[in-house]
Amino acid sequence: MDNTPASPLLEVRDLTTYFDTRLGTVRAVDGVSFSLQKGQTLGIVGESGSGKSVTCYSMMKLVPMPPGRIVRGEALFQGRDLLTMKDREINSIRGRKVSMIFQDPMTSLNPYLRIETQLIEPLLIHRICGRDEARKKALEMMDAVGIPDARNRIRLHPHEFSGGMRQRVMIAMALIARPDLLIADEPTTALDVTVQAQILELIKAMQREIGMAVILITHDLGVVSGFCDRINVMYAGQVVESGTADDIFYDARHAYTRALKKSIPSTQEKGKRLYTIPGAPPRLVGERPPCAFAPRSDLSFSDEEAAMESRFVEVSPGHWVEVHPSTVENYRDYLTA
Amino acid sequence: MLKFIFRRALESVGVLLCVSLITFYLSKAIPGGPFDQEKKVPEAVKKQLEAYFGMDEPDWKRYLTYTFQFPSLPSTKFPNRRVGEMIASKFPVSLELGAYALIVALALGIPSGILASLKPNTALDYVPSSLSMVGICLPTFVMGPLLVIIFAVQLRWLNATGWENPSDKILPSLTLGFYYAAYVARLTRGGMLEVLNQDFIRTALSKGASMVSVIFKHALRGGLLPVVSFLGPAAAGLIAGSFVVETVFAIPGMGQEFVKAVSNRDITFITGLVLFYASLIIFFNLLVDIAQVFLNPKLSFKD
Repeated sequence: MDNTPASPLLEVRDLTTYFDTRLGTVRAVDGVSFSLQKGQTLGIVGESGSGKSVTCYSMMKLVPMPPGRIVRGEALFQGRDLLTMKDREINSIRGRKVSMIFQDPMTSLNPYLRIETQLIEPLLIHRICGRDEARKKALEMMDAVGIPDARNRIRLHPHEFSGGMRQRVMIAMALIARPDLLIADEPTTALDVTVQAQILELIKAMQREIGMAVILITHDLGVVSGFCDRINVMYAGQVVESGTADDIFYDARHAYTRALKKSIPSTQEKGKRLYTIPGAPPRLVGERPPCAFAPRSDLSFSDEEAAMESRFVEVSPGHWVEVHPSTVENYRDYLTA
Repeated sequence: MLKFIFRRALESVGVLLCVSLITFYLSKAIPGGPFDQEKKVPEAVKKQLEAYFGMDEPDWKRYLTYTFQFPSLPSTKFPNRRVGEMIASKFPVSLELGAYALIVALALGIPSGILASLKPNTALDYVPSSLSMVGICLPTFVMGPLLVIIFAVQLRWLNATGWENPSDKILPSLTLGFYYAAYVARLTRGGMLEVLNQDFIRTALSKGASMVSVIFKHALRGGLLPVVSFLGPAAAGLIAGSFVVETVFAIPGMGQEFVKAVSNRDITFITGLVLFYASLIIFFNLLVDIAQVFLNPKLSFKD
């Protein structure tokens, strides 16, 4: 990773976010590191509760604090650490350099304000242009994201839009200031299947046009295939495997990644019972086990092996895997290499 | 909107008829009458008085008179006072007191409610929240004398009673307003907390909006909806006058008249005032409903 020519757009190192709850401290994000080049697309994949969203919210300091607390780590965006920024500084990044779209477009738009007010807000907040020009840009943006009859629709309120249309509005709003990075937090989860593909296609088209980098958070491996340059697989608040899309799809090493792949319905034989990963995601409270995935692993290992510390190993250039007797076959090969 | 107001006005007529009917029979049901005194009034005198005030007429005729001619009816206790004149002379006082109290309630309640909602379950929340709990629990007949003791008796800054100097209006307005401010603060806190936890607040933050803009532009509109619905009946109650505050501070308002009318069994005053109050409440609720439509774009006048 050191041989990358330019410094990366975003570099996250050892990001750790805990939540203090009544049941104890939840290690929602536990030492996550990754980097993202300009214009690149990174997929973050994992089950609900694996820390995908919290990773991104932590970077943008959008985790409610308390109960949340960023314990350590840094998130260098264009060389500046987002985590130590004052409110004013991070506000100047949010919406201008880094934008976000969220899972549920039904609740992510303000029901009390007109679409127009919300659309032009990033331009006005960051003083990119005046109100009249902002309005013009908003209309162009609505055309670009495929909302017909923008001139009239811009006067409406969110409840007069369908779910897919609202997500298009969200995308228009996120991209109106032409950010360098778009974080899309499960942008298609709450939408109809037919609309899902359209929205992904739209994000991709806008990426080509604006040239921004994208972080796509999803629990659906099928969604990231063909969309992302790199993929991080997260489990229990940690990145357990990281590599190019090809690495993950054709050379997955971690037992969890393999299980995830096996769970994609379209890859399974018709008429058979769908594959599910046995067990449930671990509780992230209390003492940290040597490997969080061990209880659900289908590999066989002794108690002694289970107690071994896991290590993050680069198996081929840029392809990293969490190595532990419960996560990879023939783990010894990795440790000697 | 005109259609909406017209339909609501028609509905109100029905409501007012029901209210007047119930009031009429209830006031008839109270033992005793306007002419009873310590000593027994001779039967012949009573008969004559009742005939003079038309109280020997059949019920339906009396009901119609009381309901449709109430402003011009004389008091059955003090025949030289008329219901309409009394309202005209006393209502402005109550209106003034109510308006001041409403200003106090909003000026104290909304900011402290917003403040409490920003950092829930911290000192910033507990101080205004406990204060408003005190406000709700302290009846005005305790609050009023308390303020009188402090500001009139001890500090001697203000008069204890009266309604002549502008400074006389401070203590009653505070007493009446503080009670409502407590409710407004709690409703604001609840409403704001609910809105601030919504996804669209996170969206606003992700666009780079400052906390001030998030509160005032994105949250306040939804957060104040419960306060607005409360304001309808509250405004009517405030303006109709509070008997307790008027008594404590010896203010010549309408609340006193109402209570006196009931204890005097002054049936023309009772039915007249009830009708007047009921119209006020209906009017303010209509105002609130219209305000709701403007605040919440999901509502419209069509349904």
